[in-house]
Amino acid sequence: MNIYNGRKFDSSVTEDIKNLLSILANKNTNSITYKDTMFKIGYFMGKELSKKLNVSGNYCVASTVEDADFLSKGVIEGIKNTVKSVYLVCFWNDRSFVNGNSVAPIYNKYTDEGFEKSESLIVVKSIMSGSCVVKTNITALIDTITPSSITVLAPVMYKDSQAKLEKEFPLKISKLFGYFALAIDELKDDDSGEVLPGIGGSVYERLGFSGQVEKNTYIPQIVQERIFSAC
Amino acid sequence: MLFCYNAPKIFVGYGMTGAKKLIPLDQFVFSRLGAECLSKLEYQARGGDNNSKGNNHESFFSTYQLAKNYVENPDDDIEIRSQERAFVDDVVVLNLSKNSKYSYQLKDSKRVYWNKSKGISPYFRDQYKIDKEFYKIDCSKTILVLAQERVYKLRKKDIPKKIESHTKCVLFKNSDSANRILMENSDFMNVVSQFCVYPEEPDKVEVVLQCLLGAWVTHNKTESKMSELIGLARKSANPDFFINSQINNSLSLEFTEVLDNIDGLSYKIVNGYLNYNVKSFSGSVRVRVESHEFNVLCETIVEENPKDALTLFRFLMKVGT
Repeated sequence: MNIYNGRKFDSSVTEDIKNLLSILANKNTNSITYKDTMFKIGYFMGKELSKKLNVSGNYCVASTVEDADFLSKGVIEGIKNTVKSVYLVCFWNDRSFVNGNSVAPIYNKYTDEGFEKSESLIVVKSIMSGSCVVKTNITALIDTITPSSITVLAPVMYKDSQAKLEKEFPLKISKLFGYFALAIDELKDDDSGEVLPGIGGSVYERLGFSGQVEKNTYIPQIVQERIFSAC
Repeated sequence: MLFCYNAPKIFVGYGMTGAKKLIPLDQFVFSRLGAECLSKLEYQARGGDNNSKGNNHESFFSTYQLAKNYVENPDDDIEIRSQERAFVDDVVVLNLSKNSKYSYQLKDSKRVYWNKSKGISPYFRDQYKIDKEFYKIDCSKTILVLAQERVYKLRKKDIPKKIESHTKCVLFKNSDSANRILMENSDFMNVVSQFCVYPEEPDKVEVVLQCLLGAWVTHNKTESKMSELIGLARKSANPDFFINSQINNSLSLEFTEVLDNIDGLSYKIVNGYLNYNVKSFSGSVRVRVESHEFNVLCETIVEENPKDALTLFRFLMKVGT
């Protein structure tokens, strides 16, 4: 990690990648540029990650609906030529608070045929702050696949999010966790809870959705292609 | 049999003369067990050495007892209380229908002993005596609930002879989170999942657990009836994944005709919710089949008559968001 302006960067981060992260953090970036930047960052992270992956391995990429066409697609493109197979699983989570705790139940799910064969899980999220969605989606998969490793990949993570995630799981699962973040941020807005500089606010709005409702009625192109390819 | 369990609502007070009046339970303890025991009862009532870790353990365990007793005896008149005026006081499950009482003492500590200094055996002995002789309970059990496995293995083996007829030692690990405790404790997962529309889906079971926990934590000082607490949890549920016994499994003919014309679509009603899938894309409508919102959804879909799955999904995925 190297540190710049209170932000800790992964050693893989070049000046070009810092510029891409700045584009995400800039609230004036329009949604088309934002989506394109997310894809580029995903591709870079996929390429970096693939240096450590098993060439004969089967990998499952777990994505949220909002990340599927951009960050997750980039990650899949970045690793697919290195490993034996990459399966996509996509979740539609509804975030809310129950009993003062954040929950993110899943209302829709897409799974590539054969994803159960995956030996490793790569959980993709545009930002990991509270870790609720990541926790929910790992828990939903852990009974179906038995991964030997779980990599949580996010361009930006909040400093406490890894410890928070690990508290949600028994040791036998949390010991499988590995993390890949380009930047670790240490600040949060006191009122909104937004990570600063983070990815420039709510990813739903930044990607062009009006909010949670719209993103939850949307079926990403990457999923549509898979569902309707032979229908 | 006349059952005379006195809820501990009136505590020690002072009359006009300044002389201390004792409530019946205290009179019983003073006359049958002695002044020292009465002082210990006072200490217990003040909460002993409770802390937040203990409270978390207690909340999870109480909620587990709430769910377990409801699943096992849904029609019984059961009260669940915490921090009773008692020697074994952390959680008490009182089955008024069966005149049974299970008193639980919770410990998340490495130093728990039956007989050493500050040992808990005398408390268990005296509680049993109070239950049998003062409250006239038919079946009284005193149970030590330990959070630490190593301590549990030790204390399970050396329960003193004097109390072993009514005493058990059980393991109930503490946890930092609802998700984690459900993953680690299969009994807990099993009982909570029986309340859930989707018992095999941990994300929904966790929401149900949070609703049950919320009802317990918010209302346990004012409400002890198991059925009322479960009712409060159901009432506050949003999102609502509680199973409903009044399930409507029927869909209108016009609506099913539209669904049947969509290529590759399968659908079924699961515990009152419409579930659908095309290939390995699956989903559930957020509102119950018997709800007004679902009726409006059906009317819209019949009117719009979507011809492909993608168009249909936009309707199904939007309602209830």
